[in-house]
Amino acid sequence: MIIVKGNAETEAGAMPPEDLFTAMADYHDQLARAGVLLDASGLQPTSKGARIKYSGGKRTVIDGPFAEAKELIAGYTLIQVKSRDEAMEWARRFPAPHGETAEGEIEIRQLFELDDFAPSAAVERFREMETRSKK
Amino acid sequence: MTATEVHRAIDAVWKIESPRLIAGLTRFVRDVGLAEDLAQDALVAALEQWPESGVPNNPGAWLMAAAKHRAIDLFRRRKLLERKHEELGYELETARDDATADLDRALDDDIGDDLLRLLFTACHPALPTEGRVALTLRLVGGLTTGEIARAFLVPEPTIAQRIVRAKRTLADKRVLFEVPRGEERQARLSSVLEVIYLVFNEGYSATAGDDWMRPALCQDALRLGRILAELVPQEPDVHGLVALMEIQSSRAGARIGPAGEPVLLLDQDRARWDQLLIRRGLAALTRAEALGGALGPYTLQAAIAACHARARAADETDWGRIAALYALLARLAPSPIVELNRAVAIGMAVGPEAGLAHVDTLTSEPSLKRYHLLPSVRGDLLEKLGRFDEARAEFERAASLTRNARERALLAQRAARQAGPAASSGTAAVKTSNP
Repeated sequence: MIIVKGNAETEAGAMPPEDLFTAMADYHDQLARAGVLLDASGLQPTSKGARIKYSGGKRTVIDGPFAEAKELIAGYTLIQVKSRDEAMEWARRFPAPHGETAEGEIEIRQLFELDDFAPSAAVERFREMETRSKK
Repeated sequence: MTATEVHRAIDAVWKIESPRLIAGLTRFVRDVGLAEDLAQDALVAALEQWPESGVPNNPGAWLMAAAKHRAIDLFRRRKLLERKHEELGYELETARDDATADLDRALDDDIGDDLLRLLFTACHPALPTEGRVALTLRLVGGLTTGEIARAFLVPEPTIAQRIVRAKRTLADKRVLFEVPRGEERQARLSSVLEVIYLVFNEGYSATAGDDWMRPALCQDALRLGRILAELVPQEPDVHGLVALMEIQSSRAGARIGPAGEPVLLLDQDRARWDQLLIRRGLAALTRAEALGGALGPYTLQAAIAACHARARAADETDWGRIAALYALLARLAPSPIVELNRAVAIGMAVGPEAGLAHVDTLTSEPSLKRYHLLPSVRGDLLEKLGRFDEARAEFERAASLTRNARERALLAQRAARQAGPAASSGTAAVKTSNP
């Protein structure tokens, strides 16, 4: 998963400038034409979102907006490739998310797949539960 | 970057760029084998230069430029440059003295179409199926000979030979590097779809404990299918094939039980079905259906898979729709296996009596005579009708016909269960195809 970090503009819900929009569209088009794109979406500003904090056995709902715009998630792109190296090569080609001259950051993370979970009592119980709850 | 990091980056670039690179070069040099050689030369140049200079911003363009220079050198040495210039003349709008500029233009046109041409060429009916598969995976899939060999459980030299022979056949038969049109197009497209689905099934049929390369074949096939769908979005059955592969792939996590045994579709834990892949599969199916016209064989199979995918639980399955789809499939691509699957669907939709009536039309079918699933299906339907003695006989017969030890044990168990009053419950655990 390629995670795009936000900034003040994305938090303001501003439409990206035309050339950035085109660059993003072209890049995702390339991913699709290479058969590796699974999913992608922008996320609306945190003013429309919320958080739930867990502490001392209680949960608290906190409505957005949230500060630290650079740490917020503005969008994601999910690709399917056979190696970390391939993922990095595609990530390397990702357009600068806020414009070529602006500051920006993307993060690349690998999804867990079922095989990744090492066998353990908890995992087995979880699997058993799913089997039993399946109608 | 360290040297190792650069090499791994180059490897990733190769996997991404080589198909288009080879495709563009093939159009220029008119020979797939030579194109691949030139592409490999460009790779060597990259391996020599990029550790120093770093990976360029547009690696594809860099590789193409390097390959072009090699091509020009080659033609100069073969003194073919003048003849090439003439051949290219009819493709270009203006004759230019500068041969390099001509080559530039010829190569930069239509790289997307070139990839399509390469796919059609690699899947050419003049090649034996195994040759088409090897050549396609190598040139369009970007797999190494070793990777292909491990995936198909054959020695590497065997794959290398298949590729060499395939290239030679293409050259000998002077196969044109083009996208077929007119009458030929559908047949040629079917050949491409057949190759892709064959690769998918090779991976899909692999069971737990096999080399990890084999399930990865599903991913390669799915990727090739998605690439093709972008190249010919107006072809409905291409989207149908993609839909089928996305949905079948969605079940990968549910097909193997804790002891490594295969789990039948109707017994699978649906919480383990990948909903993203299902969503993509249903979207591809919608694209296929929206293009109109009669539904192709892959689209029909995808529509059947979609019926299962949409049901949150086995007993919510729309068996009536599945039965109707099998009826359409039977008309389009008749086969005893399709009829057998249809019988199961009829049994679920209408009732075991009707299902049995349909199965019984198949008992004299020669290709099913030693097929264990026929008595297995019959046994299941007889059990539901309370005809336990007959059911036991069928399950015993099915057990004797299967070569799979686990399956034999399961069938023997079902036979033994027929001893007492109705012991069957819920879902019909009858395997009629790879779940």
